[in-house]
Amino acid sequence: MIEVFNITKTFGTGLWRQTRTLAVDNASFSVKSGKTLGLIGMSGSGKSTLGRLALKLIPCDTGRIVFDGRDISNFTARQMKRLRTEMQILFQNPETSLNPRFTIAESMAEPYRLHGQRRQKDIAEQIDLWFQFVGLSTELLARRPHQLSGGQLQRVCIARALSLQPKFLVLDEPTSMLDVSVQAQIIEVLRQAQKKAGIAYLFISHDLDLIKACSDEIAIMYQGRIIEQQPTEDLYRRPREEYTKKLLDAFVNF
Amino acid sequence: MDNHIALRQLTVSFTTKAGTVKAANRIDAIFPGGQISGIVGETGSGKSVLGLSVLGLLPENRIVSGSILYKNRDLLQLPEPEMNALRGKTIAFVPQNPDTALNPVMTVGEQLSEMFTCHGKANPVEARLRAIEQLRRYALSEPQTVFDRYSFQLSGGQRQRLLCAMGSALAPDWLIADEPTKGLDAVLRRQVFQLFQALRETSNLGILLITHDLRLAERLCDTVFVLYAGTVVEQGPAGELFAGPLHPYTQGLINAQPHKALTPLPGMPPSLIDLPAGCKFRPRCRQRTKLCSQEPALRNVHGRQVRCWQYD
Repeated sequence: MIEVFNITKTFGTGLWRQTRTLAVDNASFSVKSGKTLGLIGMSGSGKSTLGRLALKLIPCDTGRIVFDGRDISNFTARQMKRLRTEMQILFQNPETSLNPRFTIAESMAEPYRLHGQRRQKDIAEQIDLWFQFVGLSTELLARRPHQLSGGQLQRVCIARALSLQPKFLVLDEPTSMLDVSVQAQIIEVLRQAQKKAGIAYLFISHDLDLIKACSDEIAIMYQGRIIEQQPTEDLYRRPREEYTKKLLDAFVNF
Repeated sequence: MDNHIALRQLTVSFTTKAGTVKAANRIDAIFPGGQISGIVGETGSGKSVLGLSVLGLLPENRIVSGSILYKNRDLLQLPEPEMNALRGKTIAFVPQNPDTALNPVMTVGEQLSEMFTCHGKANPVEARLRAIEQLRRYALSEPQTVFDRYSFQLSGGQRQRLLCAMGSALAPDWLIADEPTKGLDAVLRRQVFQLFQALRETSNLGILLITHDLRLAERLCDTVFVLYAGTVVEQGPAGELFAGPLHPYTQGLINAQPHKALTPLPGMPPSLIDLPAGCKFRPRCRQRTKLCSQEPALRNVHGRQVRCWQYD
């Protein structure tokens, strides 16, 4: 579904952007339809940046992105807009992901409006269906984000991301702000969505247990580079890199 | 001297526009001194309220009854000046979310020195020395440099350690830590774990650990209290409780963890304004029976306490 080749990104900081930080260094990965690639690394290892680069939410310095058979590396913003329905992202903190001044119904309708659906009735019907799918009551539609719990908000974000029926979804630490019980509920909803529509997931997390339970393959990121990528079972059985071993160990014997 | 904190029938509610929020419901608990007691449960189960009530830091709209006994004194009846003297010095607090708990316009050193000048009657020079010593003890490398930094110049792990350093600065008897690992990655979580372990081993500090990180509670705590909708549903030694949970809610929580089954608990925690009659967990419980429409009492079972009719 999506293939990323040798992508690199540096950020400039400080006076005149003179201090260069290499955030992503020559990273390549691919995710197939209906599969989940887990991307794991510590805070600051560049995993969120890589997720955003793959969606072209930020431009990369060098590298190639092939989405659904098309090379989108040089797509313009206008070309990308049409593709946006097919690639979506779910952010870490649901409390800051939604516009606080919009009602939930307004937030839910926004993607439809932006992508050319105008009929209020159709939109409302669609929203009802997605709300049912993620297990939310439509009573919540009239509320604003601060009146919902974190778990409910993350479900709204999932419903919103799924509403345009994407083929590729980046999950950027979707449950790190949530309780274990809510986390399990959210993962269940995401699994069902994947089963139903064959979505490819890039699952970014620092929780090895969670990644292990959810991913078909795991990529390990360290200082901007993907140092190792293996099917989940193999990675646990035969980690190749010293860093991976240390990481697995840190988790088991924390 | 015995340093335990005892909660007797502690009930906390808040009056809001939407109605009365019952955050803690007749909680009886003893937290032994020099040990780590854990309070686990979902968001909104009343964990933080419990910690804040021990510190006397609940918001204005509170209605509190029951008592919190510490060294033969009821903390709830203590006048504010005396509570103020106790707070930080005898019972210290490590607040949730290190990103917002520190003052962004004061340097790290100023904030830490304040502990010594306000409570310890130290002069500024002395306070500076003690603050640097404290920074060194909490493994903040180059304490002299960190002293003049602002909190936003530190990493998440450093901020968390700084909060712990501030909490234990005056060698308190008790430390109340609210979600010390929330949002931290595996390496930082491990650091926090080691820090607390070291604290327990090197001092006679009692720690009240409020967390939803079950693995942390399992590894760190001596006793664990499981809170649901403002009531204690199960309590016992951490090892036994996690190895063989008795209450259906505890079982559900444990099975929701990724390294276990990752099975979600059905439904949502109840609204604290409109609590269900009888057992609070009944609407989500797979093992409910007719009996559950009555509120079960906390029963002693195999050296543990459980609030469920199954064990009556």
